[in-house]
Amino acid sequence: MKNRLRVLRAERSWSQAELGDRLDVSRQAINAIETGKYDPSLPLAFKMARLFETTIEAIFDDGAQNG
Amino acid sequence: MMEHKMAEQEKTVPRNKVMKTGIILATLFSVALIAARFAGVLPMPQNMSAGGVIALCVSLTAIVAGYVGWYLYNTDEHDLHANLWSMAWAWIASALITVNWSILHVGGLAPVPNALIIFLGSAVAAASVWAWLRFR
Repeated sequence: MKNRLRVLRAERSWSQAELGDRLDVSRQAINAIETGKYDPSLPLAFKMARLFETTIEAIFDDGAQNG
Repeated sequence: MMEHKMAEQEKTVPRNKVMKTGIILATLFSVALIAARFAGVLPMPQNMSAGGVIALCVSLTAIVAGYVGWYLYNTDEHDLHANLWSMAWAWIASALITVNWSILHVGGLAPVPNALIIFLGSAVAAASVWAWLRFR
């Protein structure tokens, strides 16, 4: 699944490890999510949305068309 | 809020420390099993009493169960995902090796299936899948 996590992280000048600490997951987990190799759970996606003060849809794109 | 976060951090052991402990324990366990396979003996005193053997089994079970609980408490969902798939593939590998080896044995093409080798094969499958999903 495509996502804007790397962009959002870069905007705040956070390292993968730093973001991992804020979300209570490992650096490898952040890397796997950013590269699309792992899709986070819904609770983690909500946690990310709250951390970046945005919505889940603004971070993740499943490629499906709306409507 | 901050105090709550600090309290959480105090009770949480760094994940790398937990993982390294597991890798060291698994390596020691694997070396002991491989040594047992090739030396033909288990790496423990050969003249142990029945009580001693039972105590050893109970201790080993307690150590492994305790570690697994500690690991699962400290791990994250990405690692848990890798663990679940590694366990699934370990079971598949174990089933495939056992069935094929048994058929080969019945056909006279292989010796009697060895439980230790099957266990090691499934452990290698689990470790490979876990490492692939965790670090690729």
